[in-house]
Amino acid sequence: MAMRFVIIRADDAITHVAILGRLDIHGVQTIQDQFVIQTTVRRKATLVDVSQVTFIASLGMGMLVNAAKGLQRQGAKMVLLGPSTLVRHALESAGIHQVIPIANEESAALELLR
Amino acid sequence: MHEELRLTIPNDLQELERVNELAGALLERRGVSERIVYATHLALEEVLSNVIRHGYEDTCRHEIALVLRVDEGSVELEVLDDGREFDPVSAPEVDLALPLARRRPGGLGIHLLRQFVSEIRYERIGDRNLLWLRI
Repeated sequence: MAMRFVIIRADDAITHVAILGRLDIHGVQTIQDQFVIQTTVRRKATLVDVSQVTFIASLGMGMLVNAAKGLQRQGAKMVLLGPSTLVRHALESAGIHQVIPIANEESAALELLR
Repeated sequence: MHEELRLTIPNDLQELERVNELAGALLERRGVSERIVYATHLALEEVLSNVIRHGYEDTCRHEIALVLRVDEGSVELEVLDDGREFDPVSAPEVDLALPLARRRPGGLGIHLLRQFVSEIRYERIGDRNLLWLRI
C-alpha cells in the first residue's frame, strides 16, 4: 500500500487525520511535512488514526513524538487511534504509549483528548 | 531446507524499498509468520538506515552486503559494512521513563531491534562491521 495521509476533520475543536501504509523511512519522507502542518501547526487537539498503518519503525515513531511534543508545548494533546496488533506492539515496545495515549475506539480517543 | 537472499547495495536510502520488496517476497514464499515478517522488516529498516545515515564520514559510494537466510520458523540476517565502528550490542539503552518533553529520537531504533530479535552478535573485522541477527 502506497503511503497516504488523509485529513478527516480540521476545525476549531479538533484535528482528525489518518495515516495509511508503511510508516518506514520512505513513508516518513513522504508525509512528514504535511503531517507537521496539519497537526503541530494547527495547535488543536489531534486524533491520529493509525488503523491502516501496516508497519512502523523508529523514524515513524519519532515523527509522531515530535508532533505530540509540539502540540504539548501549545497546550494541546495527541491520541493515536486503532493500531493493529503488531503496530501496537511496536509502539508499546518503544514506550510510545507512555507519552502518546493509544485508544482502540474513536469515542475513547475523543474522551482522552478532553 | 533454508532459502536465502544475498544482496550488495550502495549506501543509498532509496535502496531500502527494493530490499524490503525482495525480502518480503522471500518471507511470503516461505510462509513465515506475520510477527517474524514484521520483525525482519524492522531489523532491515533499522540496521540499514542506521548504517547509511550515520555510518560514513565521507559522501563516497560504499557497498553494504547482506544475507537474509530463512529456515523453518526462523530468520537470520547478516549485514557487512565498511562504515565507522559501531557495536549496537553495547550501545546504551534509551530511557523510556522520560516524559514527552524530554524524549529524543536517538537510540530508539537499537532499542526496537533488541525488542524484536532474539539474538544479536557484532564483530569488527578489519575495517568492517559484521552484524548478525536471529529473528
